[in-house]
Amino acid sequence: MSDQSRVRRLTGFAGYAQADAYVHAPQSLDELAAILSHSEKVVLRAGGRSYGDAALAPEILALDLAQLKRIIDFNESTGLLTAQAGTTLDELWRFALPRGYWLPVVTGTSRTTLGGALAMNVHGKNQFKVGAIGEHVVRARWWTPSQGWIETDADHPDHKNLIGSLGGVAALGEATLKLRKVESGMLSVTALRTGTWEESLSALESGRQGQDYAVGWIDLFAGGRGLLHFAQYDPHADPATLQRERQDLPTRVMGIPKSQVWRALKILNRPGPMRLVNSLKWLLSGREVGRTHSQSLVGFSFLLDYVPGWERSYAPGGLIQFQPFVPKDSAAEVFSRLNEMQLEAGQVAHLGVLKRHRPDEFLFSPNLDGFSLALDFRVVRATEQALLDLLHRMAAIVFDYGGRFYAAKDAVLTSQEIARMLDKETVERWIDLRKKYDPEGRFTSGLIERWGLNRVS
Amino acid sequence: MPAIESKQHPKIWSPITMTWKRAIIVGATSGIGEEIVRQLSAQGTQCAALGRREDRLDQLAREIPNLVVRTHDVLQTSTVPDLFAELCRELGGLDLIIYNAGLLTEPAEWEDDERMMEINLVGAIPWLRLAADRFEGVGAGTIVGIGSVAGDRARAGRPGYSASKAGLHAYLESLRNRLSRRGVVVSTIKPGPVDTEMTRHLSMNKMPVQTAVQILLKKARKPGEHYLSPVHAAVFTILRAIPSPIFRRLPLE
Repeated sequence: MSDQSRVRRLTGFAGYAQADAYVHAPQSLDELAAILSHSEKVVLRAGGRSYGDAALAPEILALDLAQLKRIIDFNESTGLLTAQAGTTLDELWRFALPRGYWLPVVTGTSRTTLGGALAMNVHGKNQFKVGAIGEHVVRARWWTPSQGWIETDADHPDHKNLIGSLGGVAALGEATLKLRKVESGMLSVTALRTGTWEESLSALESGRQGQDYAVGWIDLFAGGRGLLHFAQYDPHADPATLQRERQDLPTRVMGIPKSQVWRALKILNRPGPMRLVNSLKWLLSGREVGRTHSQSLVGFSFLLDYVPGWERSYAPGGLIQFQPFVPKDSAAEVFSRLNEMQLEAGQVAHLGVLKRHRPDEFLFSPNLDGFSLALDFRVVRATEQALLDLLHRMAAIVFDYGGRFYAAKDAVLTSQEIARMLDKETVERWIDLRKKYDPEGRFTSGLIERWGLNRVS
Repeated sequence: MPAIESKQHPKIWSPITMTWKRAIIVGATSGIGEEIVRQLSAQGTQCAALGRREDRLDQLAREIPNLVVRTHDVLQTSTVPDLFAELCRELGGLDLIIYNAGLLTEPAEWEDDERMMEINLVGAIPWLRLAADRFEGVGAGTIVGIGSVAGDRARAGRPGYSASKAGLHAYLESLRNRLSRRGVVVSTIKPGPVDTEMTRHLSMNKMPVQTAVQILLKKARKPGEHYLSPVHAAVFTILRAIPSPIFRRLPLE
């Protein structure tokens, strides 16, 4: 494990967290199991789409599961699909959609893998309606240090513990998902414009009724005005839209080749221009407000893939994504207060995304009956410390109101802070799970160490 | 009763904070190496200091909090791979390695020449090579070797010393040619006489060690061969260009 030529710099999706580790990519599940049974500390990784340090750790073995991407089985009548841990959502939809199925839950980028999706129990813009991805996992096969391969299904007592266990006790080998039957590859999308925080939250709340997806973009430079999108699967659209070529994202954005757009973004990616971009976006949205239009599933779902390498526009410091989940009754108060704090500190999120959630029982779940607000902060050397101070002050308020944070996004919270959101029962579940499956603590990650989860007893 | 322990984990290194966050200095128990450790630590770099003399390392460790120290004899090359990995783990990564171990003695016997070759050149090879292999994959990092102006031209009096330093220059040049396209800086520093223990017996104009290291650390950020003063740069550029038939007739010792 000391072959220096295997060391690579691993980066979180947001570019802020980095670590150098000994990378190895097993070519088969058997090789994965063989390596795991002989290694000391391991961090699991595949797509590397966690924003922070969940898929990296310094100076240990990083097992990259990206080569384990076989789709093993699909039943066209039940919609049950079994695939290996390194399969990306991109590979999954390309397989499923021409057969009349869509993924029940997707993340904003299609580069997420099944392994990462289950470890973090990811959700999408439909969490309020269908829950996170774990609710659609019928069966999963995991490798654990104490028991080797084990299989769990919805009736297994640890199914909802292993899903969401942050890659900290087991490595996913393969999983079976129940896909959603769709008649077309289109959604009918309605847009709505709002002027204040109160308005944005209440409009998202009332607008989501009867809809399959709901998401709001919020302008934090202008005190919470926003543009909300609601979408429904469209059973009446042309079935030919199920074909891949009808789904692919445009090759140009506003006339600029897609692969070069991040350069334009890089120029705009500072407070002044971003204030303008946010305003323009809001003003221009007037054209689509009040009308229902048709959009492809891929176009609506994978917004982050529109501009490949968008995260490079935040280089060299990267960005920090900060996503508080707040109970519905205090959301307006908390979010507007966090917004004021950003304006006062002169560090305003360049992008804010609002979603509605429902509670679930998965381990470390951030989901609650309320709203989440995903905020993107650019990290610049001169103001890095001030930004971190601001984020910790904001987190304190979120916790005061019973709020929570999401492991796939967090890059800054300390173990003391996280202790405020982990109740006794959650900590006990984690300790029991570790004792049972990974008693020596073989699986770790930057996130697990930072949250202090490797030290609880 | 389950409880989250309150010990705070050190922040994961972010690219923005600094370029040289963690460094290994081989040959840190005297002279230039010791001063490098002091100045880097003062800038906030987490250093691992290696040398033969334990008492000097202990003293350095008392002086600099959080300093990682290891006694190491560069002749024990087979121990280097494990030690290298261990130090990287302890530092949480690696951004800079400086090979500074060096011996300059009066070459009374051929064994003296051999010793200088071993310490100045052979001992450097595993450290430089491992760092090169690592940094190539990472796509970042700085490798610094402390050569000497004596490696530019081999004067009559010091065959072993000159050969060892010339060999080190060539080794580093090869690494530089391999790695400069990969985001890795390989830098050869060629000090003239610097006022340290090693040069105590020489009577000539010497540069104070603090000044030398200040310049050295600044120049090391750029790939290439660097002299510590413009005078040296000029003189040795000329000396290197002198054809051997003329050079050997010059009145140099």
